[in-house]
Amino acid sequence: MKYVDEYRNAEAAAAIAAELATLVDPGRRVKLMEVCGGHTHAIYRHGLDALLPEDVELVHGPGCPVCVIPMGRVDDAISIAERPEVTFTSFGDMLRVPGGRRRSLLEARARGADVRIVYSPLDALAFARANPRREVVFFGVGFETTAPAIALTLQQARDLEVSNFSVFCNHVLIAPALRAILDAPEAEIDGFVGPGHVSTVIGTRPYEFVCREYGRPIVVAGFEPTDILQAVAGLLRQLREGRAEVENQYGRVVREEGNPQALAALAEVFTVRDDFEWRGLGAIPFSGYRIADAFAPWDAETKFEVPGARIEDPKACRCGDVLRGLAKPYECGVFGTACTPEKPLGTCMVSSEGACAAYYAYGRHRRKERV
Amino acid sequence: MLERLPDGLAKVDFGGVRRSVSVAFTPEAKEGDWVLVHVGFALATLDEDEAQATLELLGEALDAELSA
Repeated sequence: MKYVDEYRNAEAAAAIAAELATLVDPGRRVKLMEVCGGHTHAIYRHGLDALLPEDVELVHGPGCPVCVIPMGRVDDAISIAERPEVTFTSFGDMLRVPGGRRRSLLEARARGADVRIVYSPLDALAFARANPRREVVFFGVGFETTAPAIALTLQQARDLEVSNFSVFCNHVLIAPALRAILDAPEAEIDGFVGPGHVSTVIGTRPYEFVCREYGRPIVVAGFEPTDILQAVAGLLRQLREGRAEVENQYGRVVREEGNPQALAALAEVFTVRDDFEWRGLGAIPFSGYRIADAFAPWDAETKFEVPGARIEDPKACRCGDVLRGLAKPYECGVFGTACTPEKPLGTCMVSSEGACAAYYAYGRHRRKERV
Repeated sequence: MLERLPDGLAKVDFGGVRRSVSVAFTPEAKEGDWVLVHVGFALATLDEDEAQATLELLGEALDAELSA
């Protein structure tokens, strides 16, 4: 396909890889975080880890929306889904995420709850209009990439006066998560491969604090092999020259100012929460959206009582460490044994964007393996 | 993108599969443009000049490698 194949050119990738080796000073260890789970998958799918110089390590960040949902919120979702009047709609990968006692929405469905997978929140709204006797709830999960779609759906629900539709809002913000990682001293990240798709919405300005306040470079990157390699080259160049700037490698879809229409929809429909609980990262101030008061009739948390319990992550699962770049999936004791894509214990194994799922799918079962 | 439909929708060809998506966030998108689609919404139109600039950088990396 045009504008995909060109960025998978193997000779060009090899040429950049050869250049990378010249960009690292001998003896300097460099730890880079790819923030976005889409990047994690591209790296292992295409074997890019094997093209990096020995001294350059990639660690995985929190940019996997399914991965960062805490178990208590999954239980809240299940409690709504189990109400007899409710049809609960969700993107597919949330269904297998275990809540407390390892119960998932999929199991709730097996016990009789009306749980359905939708491709788009607009499909859930259309279902609500076609079924006015059902209370249709959509499980809102995702970063600023996904939140505008939910915002526009809620605007339409208001305009069309659809009263049997609501959203259980769990939307999160990428910049506060980056700050939480930078504030944790143990991670010691030298630079960031910045998320691509979320940046089409928010633009590149929200990352400026990474450079200004923390002195780290960040390069927003696309998802094809040469995109990611170019971003790593950009980071290594900045580190060698002592610079810390926001660079945009993904200019073909990311603009500095982001998407004004999407940002306007977010501003109208959502309000930033004082704090939001993240799996592995704990409560992060101003890191999540709730539905704005003007849209309260479409807020599932207003409409239905939810338990709202805080549930500790299972002790055996190291998703929290994986999400902060402190552990590799294979360093977790249950990786590939008690926790597999078929029967996941942790969210990082469930999601198609999770680091554990990437390591499992592409055979990085033990350690960095040369391909 | 193939064609505009009513209600802020457009028909998009995903390498063979056709689906209607919302173009509410990309009012500038027109027939023949490439759009980035996420959960049924076009989030960005592809800037062909920028795409070309990235490809030229790739070409330069390749040239440097060949002449090294």
